Amino acid sequence: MPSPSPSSQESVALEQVRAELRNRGYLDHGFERVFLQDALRPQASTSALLRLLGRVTLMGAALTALVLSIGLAAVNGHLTAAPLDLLPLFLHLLIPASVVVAGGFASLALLVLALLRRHPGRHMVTVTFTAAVVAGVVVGAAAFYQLPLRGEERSPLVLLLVAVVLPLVLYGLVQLIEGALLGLAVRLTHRLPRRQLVSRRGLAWGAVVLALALLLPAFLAVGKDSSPQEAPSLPLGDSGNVLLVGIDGVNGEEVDYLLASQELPTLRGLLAAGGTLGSYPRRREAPAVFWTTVATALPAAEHGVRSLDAYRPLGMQKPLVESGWLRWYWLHVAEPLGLVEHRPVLSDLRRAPTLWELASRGGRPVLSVGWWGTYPAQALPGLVVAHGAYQTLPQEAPGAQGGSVASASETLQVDVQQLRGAVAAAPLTPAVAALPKGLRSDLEERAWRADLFYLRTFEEALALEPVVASLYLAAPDLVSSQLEEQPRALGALARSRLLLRQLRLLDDVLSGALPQFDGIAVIFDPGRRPEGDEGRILLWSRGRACEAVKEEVLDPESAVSGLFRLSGLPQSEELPPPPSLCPWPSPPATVETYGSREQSAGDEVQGEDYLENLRSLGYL
Amino acid sequence: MKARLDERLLRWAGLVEKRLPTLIPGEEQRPEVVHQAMHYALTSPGKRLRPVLTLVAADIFGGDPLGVVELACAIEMVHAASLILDDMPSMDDAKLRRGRVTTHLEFGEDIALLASFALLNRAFALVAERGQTLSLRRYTTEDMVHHLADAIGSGGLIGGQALDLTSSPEELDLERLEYIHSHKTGALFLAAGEIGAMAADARRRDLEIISRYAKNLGLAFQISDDLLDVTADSDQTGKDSGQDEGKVTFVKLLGVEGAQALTQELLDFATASLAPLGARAEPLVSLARFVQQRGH
Repeated sequence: MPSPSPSSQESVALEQVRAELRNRGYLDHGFERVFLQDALRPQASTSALLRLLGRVTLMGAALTALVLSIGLAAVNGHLTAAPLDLLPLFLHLLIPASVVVAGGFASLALLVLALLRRHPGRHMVTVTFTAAVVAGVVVGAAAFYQLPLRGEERSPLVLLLVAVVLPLVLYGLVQLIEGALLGLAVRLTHRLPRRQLVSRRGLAWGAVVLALALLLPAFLAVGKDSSPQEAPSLPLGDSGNVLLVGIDGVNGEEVDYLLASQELPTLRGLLAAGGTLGSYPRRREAPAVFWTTVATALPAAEHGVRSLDAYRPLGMQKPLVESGWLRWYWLHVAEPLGLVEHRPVLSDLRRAPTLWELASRGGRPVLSVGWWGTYPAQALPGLVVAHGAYQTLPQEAPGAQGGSVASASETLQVDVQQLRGAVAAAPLTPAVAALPKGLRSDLEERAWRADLFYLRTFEEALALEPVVASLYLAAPDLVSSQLEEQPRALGALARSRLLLRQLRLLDDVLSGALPQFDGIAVIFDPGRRPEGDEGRILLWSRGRACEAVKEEVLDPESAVSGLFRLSGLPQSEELPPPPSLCPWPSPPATVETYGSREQSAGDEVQGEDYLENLRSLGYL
Repeated sequence: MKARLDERLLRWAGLVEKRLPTLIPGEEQRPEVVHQAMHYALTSPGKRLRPVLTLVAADIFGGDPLGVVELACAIEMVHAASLILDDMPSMDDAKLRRGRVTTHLEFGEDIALLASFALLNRAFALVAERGQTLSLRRYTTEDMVHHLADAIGSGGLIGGQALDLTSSPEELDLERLEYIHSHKTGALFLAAGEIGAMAADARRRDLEIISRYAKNLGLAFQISDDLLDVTADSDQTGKDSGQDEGKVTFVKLLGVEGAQALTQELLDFATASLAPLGARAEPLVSLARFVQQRGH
């Protein structure tokens, strides 16, 4: 197919003639084969390639940004809550989409051309079409990877809109990539395509089928309305007081060993008194997600906390709680450029009520200390000390109680500021004091004193006689991640000593707390520890002997569901039933749901200090 | 190298050649001289590109070429009629056509004129007769007649010829040049392809493909004709050489190489348009290749 090359003067005339002829319907394949037209034009290869790459980048980026912004808006609940956010989101995504499309197309083109070099001619159409379909599927799946859509997006109208737009975008994307690859192949192999693998109609149907497949989970969820629901009135049964303890950074084998070696007498005593110890496989979720799952006994899709942080691109009303792989772009590119606002996960992002929140309805006192996803602290009867309070308390305005770090009822006599001051001034335990200086100062503030503060606060607040109490401790996890970089011998020794010390402290506190509670669940999670694939759950109920766990897994959700039952709450159909290992009291009633909370995504509290705290703890 | 149609296309051309004289009244029938002139103009040696295009278009969409050959012949009759008129002294005043003296020189202008009209009318009659036997779902005989009439009328061949005659070289710009070519030559190529596809009851989308192909092919053919006028002698072309000297052509606009490049480009587009039809469009690709060889 090589054409004769006219002289430069004639080239100018040829260009004019060509333009005129194109206006008159010649040299035209219509929009869908625009790149083929480029490929067939007798011009320098370099400029043809650059022109083609530029066009693909612009058009492909627009389509990709469109499908990504719809996908992100859908999974973040913006389509209904803040539809105008679509435009700024689209504009924000154009930049990364351009880079991805340009890079992706260049790689794809190299691959396709390499293939065509090996199998020239007759495979051209097959190769280019297949590559285009794969690229289209990848983009579509990347945009809608987090389906099902959020509950509030399950309206048939929104789904219909997405179902109409998505196939069009996918169709355009596949056509665009196929046309560009085909144009490139024609240009560089000097061969013309002699056939078309799939007709336009076939491709359009393919796009519809693909879009429907991507949207299927969302369609299936239509009707399952999970928009915020009024909290139902909850008939309470005979209630017992329950305690939920979460410890990060301890793996199952360590718990087994410490229990067997009689290092933790209180916990061992619970097992001897009818408690049971079960295991569960390590969860690969962010800690805020996992511990919120524990607190609500619901999966992330239902409780709404899916990551540690959220991003609000400039111009958008609501932040994006879920960004998937785009999180990398927000964090490493957009944030340094000041294009997005980074926010930590805040308690008002959670849609489902926690065990202690439910139990506090009706004014019964509850206690929650240090639990993930509780910043800013909710104002509940009793006391709520937010996650990260030890680090954020000094930055708080006077009167921390009732502020964003801790909230308490008026009758509470616990002064968290004073407690913090006392802990900060207390002498260090030798296991910490003996550490090298730099390491000691890090661990002292971030882990050791922080957990000590939570333990002391917890002990003090037991005077409230909470019906539900929760306590989260992170020191083993923080110690472990800090000591990872130390020489192996010191790291291992120090870590095991500190772990033992920390668990003994907890065991002591539990010993004092035990008489107040009728049910206890202690969850040991490996957290960020690289070793260990299992966590452990110790479940105990006063006067109810549980069977020993044999082979089966004891889910944290189901274990906590047992605490819901013990606390006298009705059984929600959304929750898994309590484990059959233990005899549980009958629920006073069965309800469809415990209701849901309105997410505000931290519109009122920005949480910069808390975000900084999470960073300093190595979470972000 | 003289361009030749490939074997398959030659067979189609042979079919047309064989059929053409049988579709007009015999030379011995009254008025003998008109019939002789019709035979003279119609059966003079030619490439039969247009009727071949009709047959191929019908064939690739599942039409029966033997059933469509009369439509193809009708196209060739229109072409022959247009050549008679083109060569007249009042128009191009040509002496040679297809290696023979032109019809008006052989039979006189009066008879040539009558023969031309007779051929045109015979062509319409053939389309009307054959169209009714095709049992089409998507098109009617009237559609085909209408297409042919449009290709010939003032919006087609006649329009192009009229502008060609009335334009002085000074006022000929690209827009006029394209108008002349697309009407004088392109219109019949378009009709040839479209009527062939219609005769096979092709889908509208397929008809569009054929139209796009024929449109680009027609212009490429005309530019290759211009090139031949410059690069070949009368023996090679079978007609007077240098006839385009006083005219603006694509060759004058672009030079030989530029015109060749444009021809190539148009043919590449014509060929690439056929991709949705797959391997069955191979004869049309071959036809484009023939036009390409012709211009080089």
